[in-house]
Amino acid sequence: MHPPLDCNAIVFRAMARRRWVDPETQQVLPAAFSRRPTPKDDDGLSVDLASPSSCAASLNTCFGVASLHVGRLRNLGLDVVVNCPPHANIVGVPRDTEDRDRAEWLASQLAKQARFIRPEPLHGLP
Amino acid sequence: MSLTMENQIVPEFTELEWRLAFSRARTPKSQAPSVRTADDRATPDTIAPERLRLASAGIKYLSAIIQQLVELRKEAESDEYGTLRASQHAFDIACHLVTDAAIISACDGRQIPRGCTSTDSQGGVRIEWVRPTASVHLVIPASSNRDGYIYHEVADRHGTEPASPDRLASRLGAVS
Repeated sequence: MHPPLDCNAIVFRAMARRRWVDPETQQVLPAAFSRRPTPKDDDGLSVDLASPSSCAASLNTCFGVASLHVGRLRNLGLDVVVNCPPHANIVGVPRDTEDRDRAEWLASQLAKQARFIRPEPLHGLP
Repeated sequence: MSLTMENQIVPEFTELEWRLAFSRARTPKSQAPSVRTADDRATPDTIAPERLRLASAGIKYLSAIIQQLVELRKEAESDEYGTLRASQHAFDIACHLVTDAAIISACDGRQIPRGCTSTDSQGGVRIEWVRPTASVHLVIPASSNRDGYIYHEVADRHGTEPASPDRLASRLGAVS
């Protein structure tokens, strides 16, 4: 059991799809925060605790990283649970088959909170 | 010389409305099959020429969205996240809904706004119109087993409803 994260902690979510980011505004889209049907995403939405580059390395092809503030996630009624550092999961987001209104609303709020980090600078980060 | 309202015998349509209506009339409406008749995983070769013409017609912003949907239909079958290519069902329904919503919006003197398309992990289609004060998500599952829906959000109010062209056109009216 890992201790809870501080509210001022930052977590990173890998952009597995190019189309999860608006190419015109560089804004992360709600599509990036939709839980897949079981058995995928059974524990929540995957995030990385360490760094943008650590997060990007979790995928063979990564189209950037979204950073999220843990305290602001908690304000939405969500939390981040560490399972295997640096991997963790955002918990509390339902699948759209369970509660589509809340699933879409949370995806929308998470997208608004997320700050997009382009893939190019990630190569130079630790 | 423009006609006054008194002289008009029939309603006057803009070129955009004619083009949209003509395109729609030539494109058969997708019927959700009760039995799956085609393998969505097969290499796609069933993009109707009318849809390709619509994608390249330069109709703001409908053509750009249809072009994105065509690209999603031509994507590789899958990636690390799941199915990448849009299913035939999701592609057909999404094209139909967006085209009809554009026609309805044009009749009200509006264009549909710029949107972003993507697929979910099963080949369903999402089209998202995200703005600071209003958002609309059109969600079409990969198969006809589940119905598509519209999520709409304006300021602190939000909700979901079954997808239809009328509802989509109405909700997009709040997205500038």
